[in-house]
Amino acid sequence: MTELLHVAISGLLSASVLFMFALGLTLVLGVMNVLNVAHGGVYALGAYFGAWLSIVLVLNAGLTPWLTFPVMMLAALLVAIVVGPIIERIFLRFCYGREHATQLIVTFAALLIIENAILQFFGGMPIRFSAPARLLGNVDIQGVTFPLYYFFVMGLAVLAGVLLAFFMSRSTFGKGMIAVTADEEMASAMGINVRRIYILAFSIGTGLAGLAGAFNAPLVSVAQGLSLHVIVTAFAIVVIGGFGSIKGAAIGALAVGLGRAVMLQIAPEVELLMVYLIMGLVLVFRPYGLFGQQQARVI
Amino acid sequence: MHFNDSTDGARTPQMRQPVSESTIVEDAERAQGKDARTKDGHHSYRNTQVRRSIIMAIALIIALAIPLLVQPFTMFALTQAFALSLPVLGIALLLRGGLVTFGHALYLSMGAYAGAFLTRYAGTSEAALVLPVAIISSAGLAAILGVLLARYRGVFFGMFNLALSMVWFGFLIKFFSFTGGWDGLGVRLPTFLGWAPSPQAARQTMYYFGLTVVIVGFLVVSYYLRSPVGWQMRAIHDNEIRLEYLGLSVSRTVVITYILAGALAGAGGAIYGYSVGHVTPDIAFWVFSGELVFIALLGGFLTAWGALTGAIAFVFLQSWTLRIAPDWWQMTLGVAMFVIIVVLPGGLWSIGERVRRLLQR
Repeated sequence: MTELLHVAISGLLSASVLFMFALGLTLVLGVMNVLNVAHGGVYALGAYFGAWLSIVLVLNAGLTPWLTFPVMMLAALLVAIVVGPIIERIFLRFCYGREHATQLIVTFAALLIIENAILQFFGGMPIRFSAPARLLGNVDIQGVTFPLYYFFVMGLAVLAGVLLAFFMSRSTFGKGMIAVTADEEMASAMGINVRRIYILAFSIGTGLAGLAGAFNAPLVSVAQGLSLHVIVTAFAIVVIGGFGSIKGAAIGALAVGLGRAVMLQIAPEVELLMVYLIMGLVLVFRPYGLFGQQQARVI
Repeated sequence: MHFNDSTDGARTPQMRQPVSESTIVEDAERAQGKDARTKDGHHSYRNTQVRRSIIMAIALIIALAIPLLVQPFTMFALTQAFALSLPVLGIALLLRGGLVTFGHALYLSMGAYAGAFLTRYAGTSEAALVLPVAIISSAGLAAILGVLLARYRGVFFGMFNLALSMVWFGFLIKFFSFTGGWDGLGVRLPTFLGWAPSPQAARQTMYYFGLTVVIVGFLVVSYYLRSPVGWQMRAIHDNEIRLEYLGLSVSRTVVITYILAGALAGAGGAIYGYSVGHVTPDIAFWVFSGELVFIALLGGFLTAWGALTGAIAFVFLQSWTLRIAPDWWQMTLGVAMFVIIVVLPGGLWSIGERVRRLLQR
């Protein structure tokens, strides 16, 4: 029973982080039709910014550790409004309407550049930054102790998903995004500024990756290679869920997070394979993902 | 909730890039006697054919003479370029049909590990055994997976390949008692039908071995390109439904091409393992697959020569960067990727074509 609880909570935790990350990926893919490999780099940037800014601005300055929460938020915001538009203007604009091979290589190039920049700026040593995770204290469930921070991250993920869905369906910008997705030319003929929509969608997408990175930083050691592993897992989630689907990203993240937690318990050797096993199974039965739609083939 | 409710019909026309003038297809056309240039009156078919033979002969003589002219390191780098050019050629064949694989390192590492496993568990490094084993195992796996993968297109094809290669990567690092884990396994210097080259001559022998395999690989590919299946693969890129209406099997075409791509990568992997002398799971990681796709675009995937050009350029860029600024390798690679895509979408091989067109103007 306690083991089951452990598996469930740790699975939900990793699912939450993966969900926030995959949400950004699927948004960019849905709106801009670009498979963004650089998303992993943005995640790493969020983690490094969050940890580094918190240590420099708050912990080393002797301020109350509670300020790390707004600072981590600031890191995600920084990623969204500074890094996002820069990547979009430099790299992504060469991707629109190009072949997938080109898109993958251009964004892959961006990922390599970000990885190397992180190495040069922050050095190769892992950053340990666990203050916020300890700050919230612990909570007892059925006699098992969990940091309350776990549940904070889960809440954050749910909030991000709900807010994005609300934003997409209710706000003018969100509706503009859906219009651009449906028919870019028609949308621009109706007076929607497509370029602005693209930058906005990309900024929200990168911001979500930054958010996932920043709030995951206290749970892991922030080190090199972070981005390379998370991005392939997120690809699997997006493929499982179907492109551009928030619901799909949520279910994909849950399946992968819980599946990996279960495997970690019963057969740790094949934990890494779990992600791809789930993805393979879904693709065999639903070739366009759970909530993806088959594209009409043009003669 | 969905952002992509529409089908992508409106975007499809933009996604097709104009095919550059000298394509693999046109090369095949010329080989079949249909010279595209004859109508311009520039040169006749026979002239072209003679000129091509002369160029090929010169290229072969240079390739054979290189070990006498250059330093051992350059020879080693060229051997590596030979090894990489084969999987890259496989990727290029798939790209020709509009299929991007982000997991081709699977087959390359399979070929490389074939040599390592035989060294460790059979105590032999006989090239006449390792090479067939590498090719058959990777082609066999490609045949099984190809049947599964032939249904998928676009991102799904790429990601499914990536997933399968990561499963193999996971196997390599987790079952370390068998595979050596992160440390990898050693590959002994090859023997050729029992003849073991002296350590001094080993590099030279490896070079000629690699060159031979590459030449055979290129011949097989040129045969494939002239075969109906090769033509059909090109047609899949344009419109696969039309192919089906003609009564041809799209999935058969994809599977055959995929098997060939896997076999080429396996052969390349065997050379790679021999030339480095050691294999690690890094060569099965998806980043390496991405680098292979980049090499295909770097050289230009529309001609078979592009694969070799790209591989040579990549290997020298890598060794040069690692010597001057080892900490900046990823940055250099990233910038190179970006610049090539933006400035030279046809790859390095298209430079010659551009120059020729400029002169004709």
